Amino acid sequence: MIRASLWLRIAVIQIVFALLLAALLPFAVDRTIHAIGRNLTERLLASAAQRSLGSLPGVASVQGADNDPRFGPVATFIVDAQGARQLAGPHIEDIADRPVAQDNQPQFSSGPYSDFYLLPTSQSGIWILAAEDRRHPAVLLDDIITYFLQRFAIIVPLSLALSAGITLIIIRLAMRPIRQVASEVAAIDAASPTLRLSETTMPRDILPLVHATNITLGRLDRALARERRFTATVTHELRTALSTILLRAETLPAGTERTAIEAAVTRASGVIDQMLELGAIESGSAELGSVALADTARDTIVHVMPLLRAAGRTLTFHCTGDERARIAGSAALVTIALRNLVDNANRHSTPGGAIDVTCDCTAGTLTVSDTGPGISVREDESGRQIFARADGVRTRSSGLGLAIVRRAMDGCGGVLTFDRTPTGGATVTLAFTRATAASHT
Amino acid sequence: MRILLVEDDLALTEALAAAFTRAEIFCDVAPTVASASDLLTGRTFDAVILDLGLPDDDGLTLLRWLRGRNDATPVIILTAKSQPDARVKGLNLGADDYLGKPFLFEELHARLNAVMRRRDGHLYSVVAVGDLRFDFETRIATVRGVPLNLTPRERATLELMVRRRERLITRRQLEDQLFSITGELGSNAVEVYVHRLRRKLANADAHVSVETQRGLGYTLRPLP
Repeated sequence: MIRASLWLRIAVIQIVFALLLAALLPFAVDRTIHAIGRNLTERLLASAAQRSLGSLPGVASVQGADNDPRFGPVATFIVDAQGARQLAGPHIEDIADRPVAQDNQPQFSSGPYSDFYLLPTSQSGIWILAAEDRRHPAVLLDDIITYFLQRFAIIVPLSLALSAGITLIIIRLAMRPIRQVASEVAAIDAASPTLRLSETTMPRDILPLVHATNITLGRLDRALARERRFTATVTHELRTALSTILLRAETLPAGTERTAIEAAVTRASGVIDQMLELGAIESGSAELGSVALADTARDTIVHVMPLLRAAGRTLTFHCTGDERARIAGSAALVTIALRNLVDNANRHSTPGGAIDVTCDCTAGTLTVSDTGPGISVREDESGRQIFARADGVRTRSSGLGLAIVRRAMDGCGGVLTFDRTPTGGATVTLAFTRATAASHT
Repeated sequence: MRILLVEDDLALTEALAAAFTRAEIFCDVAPTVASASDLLTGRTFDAVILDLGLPDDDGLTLLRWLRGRNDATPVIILTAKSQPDARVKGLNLGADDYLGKPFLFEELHARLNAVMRRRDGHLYSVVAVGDLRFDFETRIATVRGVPLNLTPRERATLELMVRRRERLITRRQLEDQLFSITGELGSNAVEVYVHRLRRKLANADAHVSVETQRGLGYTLRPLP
């Protein structure tokens, strides 16, 4: 589409409409006038037939028909071959100088007071005489206009409806680039930040808005890139520093000191991983669809099993219900949520502690219970949930794990609930929504 | 073994260099892509430990440049980037292994040994020439089970000879192996170490010989 302004487009469409109307209107008026003429003729003839004028001339009984209301305000006569007036509308006074019809041809003539137009009809010997009394020039015109307007009245609502329709089309056409921009804006998210709105096809009126939006998008894009660079730099620096600490620790003799340093580095490294994971979830790059809950849970458990075994924990995994059942969400998010929960249970349970993971395929829930001190949940001033160990002890945990689980569940549209295991310890349940048929892909 | 460490962080470089020294791995350091490519142009290294976040350019640029000139020196990427795509990209560009920060030196050392084994076509970390056995993991050389008492430089000389057993080792390769670019280098330094090594092998009655290829270098062969 050309890069014309909205006003220009509207003006062009309106001019086209007006030209169309100007071309069609004379035809419509012409047809209407002819229809009026035909109709009038028929009525006059019908009236004449009713009055048995077929046996003209010399019928006196039609005298006094001047005021026949069926003729209405028509300045028209029916005359016989001798020019004798047989029927007439009420507005025309008797005209003494009426012409005599000849040759069965339309004929125009003027008398001292009036102008005449004689029109032959299909009935031989009968003419229609239209007369205009020059002393009352408006009478004929009034008749014609009244008739015309009665006929033409139907065109008025029609053209109004047409005009409304055309306005609607104009607005839709004018709004098309705006709808296009709207769909382009809707397509932009964190995963595709380099997208820009197309400026080449925009009307000039909208162009400043589109241009300004693009500039803002560019700024956001640069800010996002800056943040990513910043995160990458911080991550690089922290991990490099941690590497140095680990390398230095390796020069220490094996013992509690070295083990403590290595454990602290492992924890710090884990926190960095978790923060990056949280950032990835929040950037919303996970694709949502339907997930086979049992399969995803089992895969995750298989991956964390060696770590748990090394840490001296026993893990049991149960699955109930139809294992083919699918839930709404993303496999990556389900994996993250479950892995962090199991990791949490591992951190907070005592060596030899048992962790139980149950996948209820019918209800679409995953439950992780441990024998640790349990989890207390409170809310801070801003209503944000703060997770802590129920016994108030802080060990090897930044609380990021559960925050990640909650974000992952938000991403899947699921719910995270806490409970106490009857034997002590925490029971955390991830309740997902069942996949609808539409998301079954 | 002589490696090139391409890393810009001073603290990590110092800690790594100390760890390499303890493991008797000679290590030259380049803090930028430019200095690394200068060093790689001038001499040969057994392996390159490459950090990706360098001040002047991406470490992958160096890797691309290295492979672009048909240099097959093993490269282990060392990086803080955790995204799998960075790893995949590095490996596809010709890196031999990948290690994420933070790491244990033991793991880096093991990976370095594994990369060297692959390059030399060895299945195990212990390689035998005649009745001489060299363990690349513990860096202990034994003759019929009796350990040889070697200095680090002698061990490095023997290590290179065992790696390239029955093939020619040029004098230049030995020099590159034994001396860092900043180190003092006597005109007959290589001959001195080869001579000492020969004497110790002879004292242990090892069934190997270090043959001199006049004007070219040396070759380690098992005696018939």
